[in-house]
Amino acid sequence: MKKILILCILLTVSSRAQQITTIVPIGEPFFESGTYLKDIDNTFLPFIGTWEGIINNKKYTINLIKFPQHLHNTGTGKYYFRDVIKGGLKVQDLTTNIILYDNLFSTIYDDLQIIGLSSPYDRNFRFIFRDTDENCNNSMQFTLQTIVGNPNQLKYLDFKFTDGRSTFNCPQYQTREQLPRTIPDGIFILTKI
Amino acid sequence: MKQKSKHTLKKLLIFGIAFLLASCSEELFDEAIESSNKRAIKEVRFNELYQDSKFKNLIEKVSHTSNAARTSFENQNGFTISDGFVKVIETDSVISYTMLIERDVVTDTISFENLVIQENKFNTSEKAYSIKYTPTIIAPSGDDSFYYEGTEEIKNLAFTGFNRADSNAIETASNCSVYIVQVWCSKPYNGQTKHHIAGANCDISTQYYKLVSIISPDDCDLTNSGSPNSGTPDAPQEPTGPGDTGGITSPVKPNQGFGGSNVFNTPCQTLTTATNTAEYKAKFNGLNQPDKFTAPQESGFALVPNTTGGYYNQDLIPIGTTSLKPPSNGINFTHVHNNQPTLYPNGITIDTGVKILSPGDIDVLSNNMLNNNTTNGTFAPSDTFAVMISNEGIFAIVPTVDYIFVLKEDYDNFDFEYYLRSLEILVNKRDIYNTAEKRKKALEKMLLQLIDETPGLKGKLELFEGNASDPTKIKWTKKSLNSSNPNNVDQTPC
Repeated sequence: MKKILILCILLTVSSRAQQITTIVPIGEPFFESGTYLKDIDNTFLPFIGTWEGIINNKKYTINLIKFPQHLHNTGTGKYYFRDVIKGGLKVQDLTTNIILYDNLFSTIYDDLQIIGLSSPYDRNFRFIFRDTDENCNNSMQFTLQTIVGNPNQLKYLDFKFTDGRSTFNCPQYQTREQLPRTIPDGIFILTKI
Repeated sequence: MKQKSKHTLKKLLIFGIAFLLASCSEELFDEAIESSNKRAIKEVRFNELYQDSKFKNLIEKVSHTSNAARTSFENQNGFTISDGFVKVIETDSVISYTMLIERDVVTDTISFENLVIQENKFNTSEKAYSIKYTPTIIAPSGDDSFYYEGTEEIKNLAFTGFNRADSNAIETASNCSVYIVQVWCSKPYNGQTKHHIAGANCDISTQYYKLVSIISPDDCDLTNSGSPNSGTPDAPQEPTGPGDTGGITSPVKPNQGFGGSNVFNTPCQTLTTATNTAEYKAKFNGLNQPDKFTAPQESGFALVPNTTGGYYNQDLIPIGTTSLKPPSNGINFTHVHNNQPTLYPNGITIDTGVKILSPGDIDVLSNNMLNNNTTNGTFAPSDTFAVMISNEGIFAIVPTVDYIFVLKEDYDNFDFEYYLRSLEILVNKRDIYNTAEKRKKALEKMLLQLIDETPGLKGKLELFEGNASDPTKIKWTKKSLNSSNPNNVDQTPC
């Protein structure tokens, strides 16, 4: 009974502190504090899972997870909830079999460096990848595209650098082009495993 | 029996929750009081503070008017209260508001002047005075603040409503001088341990009061030989603490202006002056061309020092399709956000180029160029600006402070939300934002809201829209979130 009482109190207090005031479909660019931006139509579903593909003799594995109702506190008095899709990555050099990068199965929100940009449009889902501190937090974007009639495959395309702050605070590299490119610049197919 | 005990348990549960919630509320209330005591100094924009009834009442007592526009009080005294930041200092006994004022007749370009309005919490008596600061040394420091050495002169202001009782007058330290308490900060900055004027970011543990003797011509005893303008008033008897003086403040300095360290300009003046020189216009017009908008890479230029001690606009090298390499010694920059046609599987091509200044632009502006201008002393912080030209609008951002620092996680969130929300406007909601004008309005609101949501950026940048339809002059209009309804964007032409 005591445990139930404590649980009730905790739930009541926490819901009082950060309460959902409105639910709107994910993708709304303007919203009030307390809004929940919800993936009402399950648009994330075709992208959830572990995907693997090879390009330039490197094997890329991406594990995409949905974080429902993730709380964002801006630190300036506004808060909101949003369904978020994030992912871990593993990169293996097939020539040497060396693992170049691996946080594939991390489930810690902040450790996952692939993050979906809100909601897919016409089979295309845009993602940002933000690299590690060692790689100057370099950020880049890519698209995953569903393939009609083949739910077990995704097309990777449209790589580009995001104009970020990384290069300018990164004395070990003279230009952004010299930074390690953890995710590939090319088009290839990822298969669900 | 079982039913009865269930009822009793239910009652106990409800009572327990109510009791604990009440306790929690009380704790939160206590914490709020405690934290407000800890935060003895804060900086709030004038217009924002004007929403506070206490401040509004004080200003209205001064001005005998119900709006914050230029008042009879300002007319009478020949100055305008700046709409920049007001330093609010709260102690156990007083609350003091210090704000920058701009004189109608500028007698020199070195000094700056503050209006200080102060209320005694216990007897609700008020006092007000102006202090003119003439720096011999003024340098940026941590906490968005500055180090200051120089002379100060206090003036009683001629108006009704304040300074009515002698008991409210600031204590006269000696002939021709009075004591004022300044709030200083000992927090180290960039490895330097030099103390500086306290800003809102100074921890309470590193704040301290400094008693300063200020020249006060109003308090001169005419029989005394000391001259109010000599700069060497008689040595005052030092009070034992801040309570002995009655005046507490922390100086608010202006941002400095384009082309010289001693000219104080507003961001509007900075932009208008800097972007309407013949050289700038020629470079700007070279970028404001359809072929630049459809080019596969961005283009731009930055004002940099040349080898002979002058300055010139240097073309920037593109990196990838949407980035330019900023120079390490840049003062300000202007660039194109080019079109980014993206083909979707349904055969529709959508321009996903975001035609407003980006987080990367703001990063270069604050981390690279603002730092240069704050530290090198040749150009002033407000010479720093970033201009973006596109086929759907021209925008500029100007900092309103000397120093901007954003935590990595806050910047990352700003960056992520910028791309997420702009993609929604440009792609997913393109049926709603289906004209260039609608996209422009949506993007400017988005950026203003994101700046407002980002710690470290909130209140430190001003956004302007440019109009270059007149080939002889670029006209700028300030865009800001409406203070009472942040879903609306206010426009103020420069």
